[in-house]
Amino acid sequence: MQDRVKAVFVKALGIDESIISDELKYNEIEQWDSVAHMILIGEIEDAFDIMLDTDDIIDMSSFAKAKEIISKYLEA
Amino acid sequence: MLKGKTALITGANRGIGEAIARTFAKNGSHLILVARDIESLQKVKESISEVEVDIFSCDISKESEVKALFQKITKISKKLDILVNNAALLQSNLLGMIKKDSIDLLFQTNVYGQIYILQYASRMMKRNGAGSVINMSSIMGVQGGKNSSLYSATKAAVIGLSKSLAKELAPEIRVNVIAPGVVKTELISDLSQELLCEFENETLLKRIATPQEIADVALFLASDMSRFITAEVLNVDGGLCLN
Repeated sequence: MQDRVKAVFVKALGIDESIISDELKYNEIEQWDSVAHMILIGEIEDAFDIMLDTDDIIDMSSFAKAKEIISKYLEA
Repeated sequence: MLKGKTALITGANRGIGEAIARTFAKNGSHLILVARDIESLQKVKESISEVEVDIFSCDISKESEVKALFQKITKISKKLDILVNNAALLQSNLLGMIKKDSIDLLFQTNVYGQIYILQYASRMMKRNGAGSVINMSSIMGVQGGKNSSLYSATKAAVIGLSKSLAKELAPEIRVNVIAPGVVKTELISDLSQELLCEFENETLLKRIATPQEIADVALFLASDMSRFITAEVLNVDGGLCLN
C-alpha cells in the first residue's frame, strides 16, 4: 500500500518521490499547504475509492498518518 | 442549457427546490434530488420524464447522513457540476420568545446543513475542475425581517459563507447566492392574508414571486450564461429590498 500512497502524494503535491518519508509533514514543505491538502484528499479518495471523514482530513498531518488513516478505511 | 451536467438539489420535494428541479430537467441536466421526505420526492421523480433522476432521503442537518448521502452519490456519479443548496426551515419568532431549541434547529438546517453538503460537493467539483454552487439565502438575510431575527441570522450566515467560499474555491468553482423575497410556497402558508397584502404593497412589482421565477434565476447561475459571475448575491424580490 505504501507505494500506492506515495504515488498519490507525488501526483497531488507535485513532489519527487525521493522526499517522501514517514516524517514528511503537512505545511513543512511549500507544496503541501492547505490548498494542496484538499487536492491530496481528493486524489486519495479517488485512488482508494473511499470517502474520508472531516476529522480524518484534519488529522492527516504526515505521510505516516495518511497511511494509517487510509488503512483504517480499507480494513473497514 | 444544462445538457450533460449533473445537478444536486436539496429540498427538492416542494416549492422552490421542486421548481428548480423541473427547470433543470427541461434543460437536460441529470438530477440528484435530496429531501428528508422520500415519498414527496418520489412523486417529483415520477413526474419528471425528460432526464435521469436519482432521489435520496437525507436530513442535511446531520453530518453522518450527509456523508452517507455522498457515499451513495459517488456510486452513481463520479462528477457533480451544479449544487443548489436549497433546503431550509423558516420560523418567525419575537426575540424574547426564541428558544435554544429553535436556534439549534434553524442553524443546524439552514447553515450547518449547507456547510456539510458543501464540504463533500466541493470535493467532487474540484476533482472535475469545475462547478457552480447556488446557495439559497433570503432577502431577510440581506436586510433583516420583522419578527424574523433568527431566520434572518441564518440567511445572513449563508451570504458570508458563500462569499468566503467563492474566494476559497475559485477559479474552478463559482459560488453565488439567490436571495428571494416572498415566494408563493408552503413556507408562507401560515402568513395572514393581511400580511401577504402588505408584502405585495411593499414590493415595487406589486406581487409576490412564483417558485418558477426563482428557478429561472437558478438556471442562469447554474449555466455557462453566468460564467463570469461569482460571489454575487442576486436579490430576486421584485424590488422589495428598496422599501
